[in-house]
Amino acid sequence: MKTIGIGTRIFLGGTQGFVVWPGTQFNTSKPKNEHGVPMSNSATLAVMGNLKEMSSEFLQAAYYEKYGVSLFVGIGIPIPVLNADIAKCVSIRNEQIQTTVLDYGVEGTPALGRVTYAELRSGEIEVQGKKIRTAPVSSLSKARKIAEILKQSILAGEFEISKPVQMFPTNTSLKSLKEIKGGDEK
Amino acid sequence: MQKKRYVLKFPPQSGDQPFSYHLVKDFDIRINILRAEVWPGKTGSLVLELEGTTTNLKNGIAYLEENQVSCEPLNKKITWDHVRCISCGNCTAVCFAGALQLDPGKWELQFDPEKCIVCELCVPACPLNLFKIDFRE
Ligand code: SF4
Ligand code: SF4
Repeated sequence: MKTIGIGTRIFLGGTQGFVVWPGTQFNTSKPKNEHGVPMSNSATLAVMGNLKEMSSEFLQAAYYEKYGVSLFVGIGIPIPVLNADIAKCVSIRNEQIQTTVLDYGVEGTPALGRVTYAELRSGEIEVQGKKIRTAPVSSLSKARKIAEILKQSILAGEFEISKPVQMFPTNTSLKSLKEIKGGDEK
Repeated sequence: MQKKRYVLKFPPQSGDQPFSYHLVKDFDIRINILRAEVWPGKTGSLVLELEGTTTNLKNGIAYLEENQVSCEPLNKKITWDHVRCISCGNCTAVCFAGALQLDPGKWELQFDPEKCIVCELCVPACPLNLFKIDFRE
């Protein structure tokens, strides 16, 4: 929120792209923990780039069984460390990031508990006394590859870090639509 | 000594016969149960890894077949398109045999065909559809 805004140049699917707008369900009023990290999905981004310049190494169609189609998009956003405050933000560790476990098997996806990223990475978490296996679903090895490419292109002067044209609002919330049954019935 | 994998199909009502005991005792075969599906009153199936001398394996299989247990060599294999794999790890959550694991250093997917029991759970679990069942020998 401190360095990313409309107009930020990013790595997108193997080429350069831009942050263009807040994403769907962009919400900055979700509860935060003591390190200032939101404890569930919060700020999201809408990005844009030239598809013809992208590569399938960083952009792939995906299909989740019993969920639907999706897209794996490789994104890398440079964060300039301009002051002590930003340095503190980028040094937040996995133990300090929390997220909420949701039950997608039940209507309304009720929360089952909170876990940290460090716990998730260990391969097993405990939810309501039960041990549950975990998997990343996003690719850490690709993320590291993107970070390295981004770093090299910044050092080589091919990627210019840009100042956002406008920052995102910090006091937004969502009015979600209520799910009603019957739409698909024959 | 030889190691071979077989799919065994038991007729209903054979649940009370100690087949594995005889394989071990009479034919000196080491048994590793990879998968078992047994329902009372229905055809049961077992996927076994048998280890023994060539003669003992042959005799053991013959003994099973005499007792109406069909033995097919397990010639299905799982193949994985590692070039397209992005190491998202989704498949590791369903692989209870431990054949699919993310290596903790590089977070890249490792597939160990030795551990694979061909349960096929990874086939629908991969969002990129990278697992295929291979029926060739
Ligand atoms: S689910 Fe598919 S893409 Fe993901 S790690 Fe497994 S094989 Fe690779
Ligand atoms: S078929 Fe797939 S899920 Fe099953 S054991 Fe083999 S690799 Fe693991």
